[in-house]
Amino acid sequence: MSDTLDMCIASRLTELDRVRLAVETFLQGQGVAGRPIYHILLALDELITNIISYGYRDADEHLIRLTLTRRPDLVDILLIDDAMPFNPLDAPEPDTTAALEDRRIGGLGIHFVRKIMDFAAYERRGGNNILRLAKKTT
Amino acid sequence: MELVEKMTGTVTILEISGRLDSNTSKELEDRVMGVVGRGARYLLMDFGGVDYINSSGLRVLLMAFQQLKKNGGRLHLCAIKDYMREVFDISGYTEIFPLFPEQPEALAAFPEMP
Repeated sequence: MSDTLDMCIASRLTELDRVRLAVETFLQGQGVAGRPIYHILLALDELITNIISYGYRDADEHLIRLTLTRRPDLVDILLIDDAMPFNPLDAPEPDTTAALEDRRIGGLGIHFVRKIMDFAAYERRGGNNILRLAKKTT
Repeated sequence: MELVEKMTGTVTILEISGRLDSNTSKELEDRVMGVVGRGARYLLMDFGGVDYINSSGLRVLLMAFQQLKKNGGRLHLCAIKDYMREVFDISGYTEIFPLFPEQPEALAAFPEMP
């Protein structure tokens, strides 16, 4: 079993099922299960949904590149897209302490990514958003 | 996602199984709105069969809570798998939604239950 998964994702929400299946199969083959696999699937679900839903100004099909690499105690994740510049690590925090009745519905997905990943770094280079994440598996 | 609806006394129980994601959350939302629209005040969501939830699923819980609250109702949750608990914590939901291990504890905690 290869220790890298590299895939190109078209900018359509219907791609999410294919991404989930590929990532799940890859990680299970690498012995990743339980909490880490859920956190990785959740982060990718939230990030890719966000890119496809809000990232593009035109109706053209774009490609998102996803690479997962199995390291001894972690999984490295690289996500590259040519959507509008967006640094998910800078997005405003939702107010998770406001009374629930008053709470704004939204902003949670990106908040999850910051909280459940063990490492996250963003850069904008050559017209691309480049997001590097890592999740410990031990 | 599969939904099974039951009634116990004045409490409507929704047993949810499968994935609660962007494809399925609308179905849960419609069901919850239906239950609230029929005048239900007490709702218990059983997560025993749920193996995945994302932010769109969590938004439905927030919406359900807000709707029930208008009628003076309550929302209880039970049987959330351990690996998903953290996401409920991060959302700030565990401070406001009562979470219970299983249905009996969740049911007993509603007011007016025998």
